[in-house]
Amino acid sequence: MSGSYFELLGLPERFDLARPAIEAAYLDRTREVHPDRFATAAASERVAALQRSMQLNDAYQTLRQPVRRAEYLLNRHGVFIGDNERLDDAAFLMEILELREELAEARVAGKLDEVARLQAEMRRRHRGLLDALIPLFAAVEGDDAAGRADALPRVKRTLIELRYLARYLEECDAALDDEEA
Amino acid sequence: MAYSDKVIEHYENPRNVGTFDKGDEEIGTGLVGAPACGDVMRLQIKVKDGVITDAKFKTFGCGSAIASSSLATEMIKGMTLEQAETIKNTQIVEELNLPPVKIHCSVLAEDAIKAAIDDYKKRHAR
Repeated sequence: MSGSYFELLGLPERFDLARPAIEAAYLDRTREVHPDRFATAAASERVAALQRSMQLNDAYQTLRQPVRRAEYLLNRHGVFIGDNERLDDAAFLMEILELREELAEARVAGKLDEVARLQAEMRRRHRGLLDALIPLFAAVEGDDAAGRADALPRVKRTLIELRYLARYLEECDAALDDEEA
Repeated sequence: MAYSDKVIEHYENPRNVGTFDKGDEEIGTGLVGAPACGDVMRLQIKVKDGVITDAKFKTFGCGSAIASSSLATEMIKGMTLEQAETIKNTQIVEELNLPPVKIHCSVLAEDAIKAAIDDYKKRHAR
């Protein structure tokens, strides 16, 4: 197997990457393995090109989205969000529970504008957390060992909050969908 | 993903959904979060003379998480705190026929029971 998604696409391994640069790298690499180029090639070469093209696609799909890129990088640093982990933060959980209740009530009552208000608020928070990841990753990727050790758990914590917000935003979408249906 | 009939049944008719006043003397509240899925589960018990007389839950998560907590509240009603403490997630897995990828939902429910009991005990430690 080949190396990391960053290596596959020939990109530097860091969080702060511009979407156009990732796209350009992907298009560049996929051209090299385009099926047209292998039309007359041996079967084994065609299969290899196809496999490579699937890997490139996986890499692109993961790296182009900031949250997925961040989670991938976190894992590359040996840190994971485990299935049976618990978030030990009663205040945050209570807040999420209350926000979910508000949303559920607005949904049942058919209060579309209230759902939209909650959605806008959570989108703002989501964006804020994504912005916060940039300096955190700068520390993770920096030369200062103490700074790295300090930033890594904070990256993880931020990504956990992002998961809760993503789940919340999915519920907002669902609520707005059933209004339209 | 296919849910078992029992999961669907609990999901569509969840038992004991609701909230007790967590400041109430007789109430213990467990609030647990599974960061991997962004789920949050609150399970509350009402205790009289060491016996759980009532239980309520509120879960925001997938169908299996809702069914697991719904079943958990049914299981612990009428149990002593000591009995409820021994409940294992595997009992929930068996009862609901949870597939391997959803076992963590039953673990979350077990943790919620334990957290509620802990909370109750802490509040009555003195």
